[in-house]
Amino acid sequence: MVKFLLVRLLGTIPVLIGVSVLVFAMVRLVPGDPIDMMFTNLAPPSPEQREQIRKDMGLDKPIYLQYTSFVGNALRGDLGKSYRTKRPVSEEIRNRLPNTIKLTIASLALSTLIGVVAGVMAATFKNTWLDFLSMLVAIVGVSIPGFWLGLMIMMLFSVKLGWFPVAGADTWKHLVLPTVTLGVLASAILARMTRSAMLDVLNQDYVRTARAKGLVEWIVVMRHAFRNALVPIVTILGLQIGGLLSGAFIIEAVFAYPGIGMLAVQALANRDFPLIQGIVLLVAVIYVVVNLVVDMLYSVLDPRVRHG
Amino acid sequence: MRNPLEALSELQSPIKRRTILRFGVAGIGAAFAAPLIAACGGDDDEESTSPTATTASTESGSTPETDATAPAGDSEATEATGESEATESTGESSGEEVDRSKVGGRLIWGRSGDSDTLDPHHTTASISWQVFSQIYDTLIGRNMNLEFEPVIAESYEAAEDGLSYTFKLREGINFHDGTPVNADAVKFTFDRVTDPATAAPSASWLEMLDSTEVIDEYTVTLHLKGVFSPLLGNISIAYFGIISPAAVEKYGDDFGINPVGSGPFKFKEWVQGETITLTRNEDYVNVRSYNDNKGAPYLEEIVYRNIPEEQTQVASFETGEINFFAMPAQQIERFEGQSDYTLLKPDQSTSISFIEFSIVDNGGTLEFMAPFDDLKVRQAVAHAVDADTIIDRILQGTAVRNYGLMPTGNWGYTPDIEEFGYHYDTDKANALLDEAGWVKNGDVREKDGKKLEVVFWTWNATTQERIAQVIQGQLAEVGITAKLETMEVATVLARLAENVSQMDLMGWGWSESDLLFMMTDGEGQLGLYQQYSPEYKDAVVAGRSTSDMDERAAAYLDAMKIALADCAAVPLWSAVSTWGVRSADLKGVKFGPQGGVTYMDAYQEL
Repeated sequence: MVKFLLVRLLGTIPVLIGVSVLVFAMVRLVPGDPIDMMFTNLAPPSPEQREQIRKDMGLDKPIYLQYTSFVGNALRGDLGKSYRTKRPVSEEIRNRLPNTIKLTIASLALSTLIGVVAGVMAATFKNTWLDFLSMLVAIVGVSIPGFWLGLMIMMLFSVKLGWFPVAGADTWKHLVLPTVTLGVLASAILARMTRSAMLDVLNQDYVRTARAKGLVEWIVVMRHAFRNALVPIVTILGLQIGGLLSGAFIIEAVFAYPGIGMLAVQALANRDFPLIQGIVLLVAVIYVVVNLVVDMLYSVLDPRVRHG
Repeated sequence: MRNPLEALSELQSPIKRRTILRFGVAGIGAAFAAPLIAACGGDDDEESTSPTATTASTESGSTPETDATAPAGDSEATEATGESEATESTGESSGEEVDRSKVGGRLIWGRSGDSDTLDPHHTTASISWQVFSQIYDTLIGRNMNLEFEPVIAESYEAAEDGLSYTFKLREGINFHDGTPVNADAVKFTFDRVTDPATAAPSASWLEMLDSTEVIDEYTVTLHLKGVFSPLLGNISIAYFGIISPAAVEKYGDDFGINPVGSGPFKFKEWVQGETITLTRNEDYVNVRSYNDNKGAPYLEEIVYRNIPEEQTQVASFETGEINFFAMPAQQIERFEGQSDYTLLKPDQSTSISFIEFSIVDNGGTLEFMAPFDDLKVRQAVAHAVDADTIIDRILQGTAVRNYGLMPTGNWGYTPDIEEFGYHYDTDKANALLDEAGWVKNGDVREKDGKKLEVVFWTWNATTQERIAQVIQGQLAEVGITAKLETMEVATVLARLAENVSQMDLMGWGWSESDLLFMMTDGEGQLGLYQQYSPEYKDAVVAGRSTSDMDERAAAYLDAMKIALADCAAVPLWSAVSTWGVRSADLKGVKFGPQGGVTYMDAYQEL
């Protein structure tokens, strides 16, 4: 077990190095001088100013030194300063991150609830109207663009019914519509995956054995089948967190919900590279960590993984 | 007095040098599409939320514009401007004093973006200007006829030689922190802007300012390095509003998040990325001629909310979460004529949109880039483009046709320029191309085996792209193949000087008529035009170096005529923003000079 964890942990290192290289390269590969980008909305700097900034930013150093100092600073939590507001990127992200975490957790909970319940029901009552209905809804859910769904939900619940506010994050009410939008989108795929995982398991010999023992059907479904279907479901859940984070980029902007998604969208619009760089790095790290956690969960859920 | 630039869109704020100005304008376009530079719109418009001019970018989302039907410029035209519908208001406030015990409330403004800083010496973003123009008052402002009128200054006098201006300040005005507004504060402000250590991006607008001299407690003189008539216009913009020296001392680098001025609204709170709240300055005395309210604002607060998506702004407007915003062009039809809403459409704008041709250095001599080195080919483009249709169909009327380069809301604009401009006429365009030796072969024209193909750049905001596509189609009608390439605003601006494109769709905005000098004094495209045409240079230099207003007007008219004769650019329109006001609960919002919005008469009934 310890060895497995160690191997997995070590495995994240090349991934993180790859991520840092990509993020670092991203800013350097954009056409144009980064200093021009810093001054897009300002009077162009004089040649002396330009030299000074180049020095301050370390742009006069060889590229590998720039990379190592970027990584060194990032490890110490220093992600540079936003071009636009001149405030530290880490501070900008810290101000917004709690909102996004709230939204991600709420929508993850909602999508898990809807998705898993719908999937289990659909599998259990395979080929009934319940199955067809849940899968129809799931297909529609997978196909709808998040942006559009968010606007429709907004039109209905805010503009027409007046139940929830359109934009902002001041009260719990502001959290409801973005959560529903993200949660519904994420639950669709989860419902489909849960259904097929369950169907797979329900056809196994041990389920037939459990039924033959005369166990009540719901015990068979929950204890014998669902427990074994959890491995693929957890994998999807892990991927969902990544999906929810990227979905939050769009949905936060739609609902003017001040999380890192909205921060990222506006940073892109402003070509605020240090800020974009910081957010991309953060999201990539979250992704890696979540995957690590998922891998660990496998070994809890499925003893075979521990030995494999 | 209100900042004349209010009319500019967020992105379009007045910025100095070409890149900035261009960018700003670009913002306008973005606004239409979807907003941010700064940009602006869908997502394209990130920068375009502000009121202003529209040209193009992103700015961000942000960008409204003004447009004008009214002539704003020379002496004869001025009167018309004053009476134009720009004064239309949402409330029934005209002329009468409003009962202060029954009014107050909040103006909640939805914008696609947040300000960067409220220190006027550390930004040129119009989205920041929108806020701090309410916090800082300037020495002088403009009235509806675009003449200067006092704000902090009670009167001013120009020296005979035009080399200095002396301002007599009104006594008894205090900054929001209680310290007095006096000659020392004025000197402190101008010294801070021009101090190289401040690195103020707006300093270049004051490059002709030599020194500021305190004569007595309420008298101050600005000394110039040479005659520079745009000075008064430039210092009437809030970038040069008077700031509290005590507050700068107290907050240091944090002055930008603790701004203190003497304007109608005081800074209250800034939740980064979300809202900025200003509150009424109870002690305010308003001397602007175009407001009925001569005391403190009626409004309790102005709240600036960051709502990036255009659709979300519209929904918030319908639910009342915001009651004021720059209305996207495609939404205008829906809200027009509804009693709960009022649309404010200015007829003046401080921006100009145009097609420009690349100028290149051919071994020491400047020339337009082939095939536009032939005047007839440039003129053919000018006759092939149907600007009126674009204004009508794509801009939904949020722009005013302009045949010259001077924005409709600037002093020096005259509708008479139409007679020197290019009108839509495909027969003429075809004839010009035939004369130039470009022969039609099927749908394409050729000369010496070469096809008439050009690269056409603009930025990738939705509305901007649609406009460019229509122009592309109109050029194809006369046999010119324009290969349209779009990229982000900042990239377009940064790469223009590479001369990859023969033509581009561009926009600029600035409220002082010196704009004609500024946009031809840079690098690439129209920025090289002063070098290309010494006659044009003489005209715009004359425009900035005489203080005789008639001479200035004549100089700018000459300059515009020279540029049109050369067909150095194809002026298209001055874009205007349309403002949505929830008039069911917000009244009295109206236009000040140059298409800017004024909030002094605005109120909610309690």
